[in-house]
Amino acid sequence: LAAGARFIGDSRQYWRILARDAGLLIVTLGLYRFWVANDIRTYLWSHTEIAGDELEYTGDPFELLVGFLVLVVIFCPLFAAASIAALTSGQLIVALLLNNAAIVCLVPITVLALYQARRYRMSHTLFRGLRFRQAGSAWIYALRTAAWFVINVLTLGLTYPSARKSLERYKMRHAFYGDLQGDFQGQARRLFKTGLLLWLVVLVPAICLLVALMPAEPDPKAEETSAALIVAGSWLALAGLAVYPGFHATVLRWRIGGMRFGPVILDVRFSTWSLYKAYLRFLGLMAVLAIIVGTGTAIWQLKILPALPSPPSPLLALAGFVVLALVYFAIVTAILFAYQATVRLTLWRLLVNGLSLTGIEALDRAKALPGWTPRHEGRIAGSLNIGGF
Amino acid sequence: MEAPTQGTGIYFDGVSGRRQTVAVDLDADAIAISTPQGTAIARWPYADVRRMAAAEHRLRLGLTGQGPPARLSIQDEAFADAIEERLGIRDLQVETSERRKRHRVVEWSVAAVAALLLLAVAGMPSIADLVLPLVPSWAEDKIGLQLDAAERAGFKGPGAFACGEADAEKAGHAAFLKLIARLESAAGLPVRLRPVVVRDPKTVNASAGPGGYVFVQYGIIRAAETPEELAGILAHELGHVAHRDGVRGILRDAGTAYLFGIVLGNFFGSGAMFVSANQILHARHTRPQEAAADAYGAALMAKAEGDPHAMAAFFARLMKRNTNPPELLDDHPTNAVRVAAIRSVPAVANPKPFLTPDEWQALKRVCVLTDGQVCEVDSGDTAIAACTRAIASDRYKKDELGSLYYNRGYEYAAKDDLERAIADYDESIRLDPKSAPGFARRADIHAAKGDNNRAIADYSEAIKLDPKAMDTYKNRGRARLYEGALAEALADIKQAAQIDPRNAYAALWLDIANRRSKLASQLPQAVGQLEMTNWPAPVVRLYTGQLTPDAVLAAADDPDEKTKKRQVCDAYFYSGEWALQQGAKDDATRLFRLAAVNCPRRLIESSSANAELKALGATP
Repeated sequence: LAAGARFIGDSRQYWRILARDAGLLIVTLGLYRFWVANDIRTYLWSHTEIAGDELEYTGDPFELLVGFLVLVVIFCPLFAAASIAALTSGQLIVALLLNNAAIVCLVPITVLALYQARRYRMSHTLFRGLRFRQAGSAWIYALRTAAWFVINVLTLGLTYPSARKSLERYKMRHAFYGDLQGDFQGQARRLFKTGLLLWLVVLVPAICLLVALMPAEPDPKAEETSAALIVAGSWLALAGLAVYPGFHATVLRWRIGGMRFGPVILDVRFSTWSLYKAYLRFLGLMAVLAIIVGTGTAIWQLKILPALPSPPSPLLALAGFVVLALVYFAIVTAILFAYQATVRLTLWRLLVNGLSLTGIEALDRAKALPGWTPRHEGRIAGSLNIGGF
Repeated sequence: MEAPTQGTGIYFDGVSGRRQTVAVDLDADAIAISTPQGTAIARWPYADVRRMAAAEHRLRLGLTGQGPPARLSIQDEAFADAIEERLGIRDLQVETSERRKRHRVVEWSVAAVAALLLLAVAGMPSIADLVLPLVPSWAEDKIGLQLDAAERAGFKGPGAFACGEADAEKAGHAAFLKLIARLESAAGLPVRLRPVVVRDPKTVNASAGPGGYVFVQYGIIRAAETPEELAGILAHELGHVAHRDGVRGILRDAGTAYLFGIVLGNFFGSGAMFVSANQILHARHTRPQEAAADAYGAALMAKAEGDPHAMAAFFARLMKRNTNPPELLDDHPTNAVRVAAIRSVPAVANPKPFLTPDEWQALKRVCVLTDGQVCEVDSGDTAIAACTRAIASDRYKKDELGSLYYNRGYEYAAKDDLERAIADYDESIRLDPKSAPGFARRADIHAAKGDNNRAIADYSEAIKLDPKAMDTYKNRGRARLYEGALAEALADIKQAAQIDPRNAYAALWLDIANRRSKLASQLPQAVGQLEMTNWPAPVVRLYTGQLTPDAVLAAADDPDEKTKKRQVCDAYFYSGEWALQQGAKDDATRLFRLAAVNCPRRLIESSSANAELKALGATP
């Protein structure tokens, strides 16, 4: 038995929710982010109809807030201790190492948090009265990610399909719908074949440019060397940017096409051009934002700043600081929400409308996992995943 | 129409994925769910039934509690409405209760942010004071060591960070240690001092870090005129050491940065902590701490049998000489109050000198500078000679060479050697064509030579490069005024007064330009904003009718010869302009003649006086 899915939402309504939440997020200097994530997920899930029934998101923003507070309680003393150690080490090198160690730690923490957030999202997704579940160890996943990252760098990205496959398989084999265990059947070879073209388009001209422009004896200080690096780097950035939506679409099709839940087989078809259009809309919004910010800055520099008394009073300085913080926050929020409203929404709609499932008669026989409840699973690290709506 | 009490729905039991079409009956106290054939499946008491998240116009029901997540979907809208009515949930009510919940979240968040802000601004200093006694001295030592390392790492040279190592510097360094040792033994501090003379001839500053570190920039030693002044400054810094203000500041700033880091989801407060610790050295003990250090310093000077008022003399001189206060006086709008407070400490009857004249001379030379540095910070023939040597040495890059020429040009101009000045400015602009001061100063010389058109061209170039310089607008306005372009002159001078509403010269020229344009004077309204403690405040008072020209001339007197010459020049010229405004042409002519004779040639007042004399038809 086969069935499709459809997105029954309305982008205007979605935009309305986003606009309201963006305002609240700015006013609360970001504390509202847990409710924003909740609103967005609730909307997307309940407007996603698969084989005639909608998904349901059962997450609780308070739970995430509590998770965040737990994290604060754990990390504050930890980081305070690191800071004090750095300050009182008496050695500049040690201090710099300790401070940078914190930043280096950020990457594995992010990977861990992403996995944990997935755990939270899955266990709070209800479909036909059954929950999804993400089992497995976030630590192992993070370690695998790190190992593959090193290999990918060493092979200039040629092993990316194998890496993707290995990681997807880990995730899916530890995923459940009720008692139906997930699996991943995508083949690295297929991704490699489609991806190779993109890889060649981006990387080969960059290398050629570098070889052609680089003087015979590279001198890191010479202008020719840096010019060669800049030209090659610009090609890499521009071509990468132009190719990225296509790459994104390819990987998504491949990923979803490889997903299995027991005998249920997933597949998706959508046009790459639609995704390009979403990215272009996002770029357009960014251009509008740049114009607004530019105009605002110009007005501030030319009109407001000269009109203020030259050493401002402390109260005025404080007010200025608060306004600046809010403006900064508003800009960041605007960028994030523009992305949500264009690329993310379009992507969701494309994936849902293009989704097809075969073997859905197995859904009728699926049972709840015995002895498992989703209480608080993944809420702590999940609370860090603000962007993963 | 009667609300339906029966209908169909889709039922999921929460333990399997089975999709069941069911018959739904609204009983008196519960929703009864049964198969289409009538076999009962479940009874949901109304009190336990909740509406679950669903798309609009769709109703999805579930039960409260920890049981399996069974769901009942109702597709028929009329029946869904009937169920909602029975449950007492109207769409509108759900909306309002949602909104109320949302409002509460926002209110709490805003309150939390406000509380945090209050804590950071008002509470942090008190918290720092509370924590301060808990910081052990070994930790303070280590923090000091770290900041010292950071300070050294941040030093760009030329030469070593600390002065006193080279043979030529040893005598001066010994004098420095002798001076500070007398203060240290009188102070009886809990930590041993680690005083350092920093090889920075430009910065007029000294600071005290945690762990007894005292950094004394060479610039402040150069600026001090007696050992007592320097001792006074050091005594003040010892006050910060005694009060542990360095650690206090780190605690306060780091606490604040940390607090905000937590709220904004940034755990990496440690970075902010380090930065704030680093900043504390270059910064800003708060005002009560400064006052306490002042009081401590004055008392310490008295205890060490030195002159407790010496530091006040130093401050007073800096305040008078600089329109822009140096770093040491930054952020202290109440400098006059500080000077008065220091002077209120009783004087010492027979203060013992801190150093012999020889020792003091050695200390003044404690840092051996490169020719380039001397060229930059010194003045007069010493500077010119150093500049010439530095230029000849070809050790300097293009833009550095440009600034060497600029500095030498500036020194030639100060000697009224306008030809050499202009040649050096030409060279400096050729080497560094993006330097606004280069164009502005060359323009000054063109103006001084009476070539207003070239001056205007150079001023315009300088404005292109730096559109915020008050002086450049004012001087271009003046040049345009004497070229007869009255409207443009007025616009320039207005711009200057707008850029710096405190500057008295801009206000005076605005008054002159206004009256020439037959416009009302704006000076009386502007006076409130002007800096009126220093020169040329008496000239402003002449223009507002509070002083006579003779009184202004008397006020121009100053013990410093150069300052006196400049102020007397101002007194003659601006009195001349004032007389002209009053219609007293003879008086004006006399005063302009005096200005033309007394003013250094490089000053705009000199060429202005000559221009006025020409316009009056008088010989200079």
